[in-house]
Amino acid sequence: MPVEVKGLRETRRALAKFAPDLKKEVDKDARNRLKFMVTAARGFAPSSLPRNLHGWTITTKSEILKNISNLGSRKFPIYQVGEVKSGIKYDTGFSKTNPRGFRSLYELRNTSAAGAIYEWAGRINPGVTGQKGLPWEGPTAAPGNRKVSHSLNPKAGAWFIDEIDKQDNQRQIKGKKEGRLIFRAVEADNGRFIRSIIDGMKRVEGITQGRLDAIKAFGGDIK
Amino acid sequence: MTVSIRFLTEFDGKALSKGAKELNKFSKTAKKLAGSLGIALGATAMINFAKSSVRAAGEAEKANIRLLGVVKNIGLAFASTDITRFLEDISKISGIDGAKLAGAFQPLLTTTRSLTKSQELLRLALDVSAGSSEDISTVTNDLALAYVGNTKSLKKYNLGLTQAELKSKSFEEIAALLNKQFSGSNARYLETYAGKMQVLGEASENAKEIIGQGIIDALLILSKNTSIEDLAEDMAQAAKDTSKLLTELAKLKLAIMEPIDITTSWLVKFINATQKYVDLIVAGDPSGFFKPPRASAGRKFTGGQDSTKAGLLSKSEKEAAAALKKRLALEKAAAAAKLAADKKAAALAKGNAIFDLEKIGLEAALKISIDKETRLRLELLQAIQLGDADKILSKMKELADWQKTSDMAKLSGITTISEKQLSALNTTLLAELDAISKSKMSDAEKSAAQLAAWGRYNDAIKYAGGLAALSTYSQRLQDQELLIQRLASIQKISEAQTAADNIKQAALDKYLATLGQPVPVPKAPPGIVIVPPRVITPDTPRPNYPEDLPNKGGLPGLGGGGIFIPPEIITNNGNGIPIDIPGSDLPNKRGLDLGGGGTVLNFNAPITTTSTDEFARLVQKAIQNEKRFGNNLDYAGAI
Repeated sequence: MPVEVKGLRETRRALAKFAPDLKKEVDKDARNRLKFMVTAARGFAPSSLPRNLHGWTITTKSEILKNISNLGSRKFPIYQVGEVKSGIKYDTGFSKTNPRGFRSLYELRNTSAAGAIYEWAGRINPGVTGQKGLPWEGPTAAPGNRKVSHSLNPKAGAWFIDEIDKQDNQRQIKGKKEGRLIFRAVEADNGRFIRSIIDGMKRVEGITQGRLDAIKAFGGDIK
Repeated sequence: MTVSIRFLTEFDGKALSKGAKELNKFSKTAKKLAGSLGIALGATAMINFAKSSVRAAGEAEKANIRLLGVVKNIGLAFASTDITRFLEDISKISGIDGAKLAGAFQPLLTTTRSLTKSQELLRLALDVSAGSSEDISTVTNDLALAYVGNTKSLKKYNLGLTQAELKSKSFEEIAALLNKQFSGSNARYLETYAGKMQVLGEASENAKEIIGQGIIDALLILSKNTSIEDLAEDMAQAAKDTSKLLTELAKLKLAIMEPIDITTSWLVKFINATQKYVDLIVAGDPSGFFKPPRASAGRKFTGGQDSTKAGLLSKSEKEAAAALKKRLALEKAAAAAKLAADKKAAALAKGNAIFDLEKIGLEAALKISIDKETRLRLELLQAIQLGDADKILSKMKELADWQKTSDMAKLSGITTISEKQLSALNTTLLAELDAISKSKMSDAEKSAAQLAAWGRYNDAIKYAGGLAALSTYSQRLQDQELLIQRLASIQKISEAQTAADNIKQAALDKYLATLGQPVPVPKAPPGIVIVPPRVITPDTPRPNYPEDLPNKGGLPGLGGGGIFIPPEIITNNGNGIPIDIPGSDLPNKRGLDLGGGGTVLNFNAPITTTSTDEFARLVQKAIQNEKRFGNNLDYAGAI
């Protein structure tokens, strides 16, 4: 559950107006923390895949595989470590409000498709209930139906997940809040990032409040 | 696909507007839609689909409005509903876009102004379009033009007729030909894979038009939802799953567009009619659309199934040959007709040429004729040839008046030329002479022309009875006559001058030629001795002339000091009287020695010069010249 704060935007506006140096300091601290997590997430991406997953890397077969798509006009994403690592980014500044009315100040992203596959493979059907991977239908499945496996091999999904778990030190993903790259990085951070931000905001909040009081005492306009 | 982790989120209630709330609501609906469709729908693709749906609906509406406007203008407003339903049925059957069909139907309506005829022609146009691969709009335009007689555009359909034959045929015959050639083409086309897909395509277009009316608002809201962007699939992918799409379209209609009920039965019918084809498409096996090709052994068969084909082929070839023969016969007949027409035209041209010859003859006669009555008659003939009725009448009146005048003159005993006639003749002559003098002819030709004019004038006067005394005519006519006489005299004088010059020249030439040569002795008649001429010098003894011969009087000396005595004709009758020289009544018959004075010349011709004095002067001069230089008409070797 993401940390929900209240009055964050107003606080940052006040900081920007009355204590821009403090705001800058806070932002700098946050960026450093986010960079650290990005670096950690990139470190979790394997530079090469095991032999059983060679079809997913850049080979002749994978080139052919790239052209076979059951995703409409999109090509099948091939695992390329450079692409995966470069797709792991951070973002600062308030995001767009989602339909639920929430927006965030900082964001860690895994933007590549192969990175997303590696991040979340086995998330929905980790095998806990007996089903590992997508339910299999094979080539006769309707094109574009991504809730079933289109592979000729009925166990392709399970095999894929097993191989990836081997790479991840048998770490199994069991839900939306788990993953192999950025989620692992955040897990490894263990909340230090949030705490630092909050502590920093509290610190500057006190300083900013003093400044505001001083301005008010001297008859200044704080609107 | 982006996986993201958000830190420090806050709830922003103000940004959650009404649209966002509806978006939430629609998100659930959209997910339900995606679920029912069995595929995921991307927001952008949905927007595109919605836009194209709205566009399709708009275009269909525009075409319909245009057509209904035309229908109203031509007085068929009562049949608007029938027309719309007819076009929809045709669109469904043929797979042609409704808007396009409306545009193609319009020219047929406006040209024929008959609903039944237009429908019949549209069905024909469908067959022709399918059979000839021409666009339906082009075909209907061509049919509309042919209906009013313009068959030029029918050439592209290769009916086997020349342009002349097409023009000669009525529209019903042409339509029958087109029907015969292309009948069933549209049905055969719709049985092909392409035709079936066309029908399906049109069905989906129609679905778009229907869907577009109501779904756009929801889809626009959908596009603002970033969470929908995370859904993978677009509408193009959804369209591939046609069976599910078509099935769920009915549910979509129920869910979204309740007011529109008319499509339900249409959709159900459509789905039922096309399900088997859709299954084939979904299965990825189009073979069901085609009949499997028959294996061929590559040999030529003389019997069996192929013989029927051969028989059909030979029949068609026979028909083609018969048609060709018929066309050749028509062409031959046309060529023969053309030849006959050309002959006729040539004969007519020849006749015209002959007529022109007559015209030329009339003009020539007019030129040579100077008689007023003859001229009038010739001018009348000219007017008849030209066919100028007014001119004919005027000339006839003029001729009648002239004849009346001459008759009157005859009746009153006038035998000579009348004043009027003479005046006309004089005017004509003067005009002719003036024209000749101004012309660019050579002098010889001018002279000849003038002589001819004079001849005609004299003949006309003679024909009219001859001239009366000048004093009987008016002063004006007298003056005119005198002028003519002056001109005549000048003519004669110039002729005389020319003749004299010629004589002089000839004589001079002869003199020069005979210098130093013995003078030939003329042949003397019997009983006459001619003394040959001899050169007399001062030392020459005088000849023994007979005493009765008078002194010759001397002749002008020649340059050499000698005197050349011409040969003498000595008579031997002894009476001293010289022999009478014919052609002269000179009392002094000494040849050319006319002597001086006392000579009277009588001329029988009338004096046409202005005065006798002048005439006498001219004659005297001529005589003097003759005396000086001699006259080879009388004695030979005068000098």
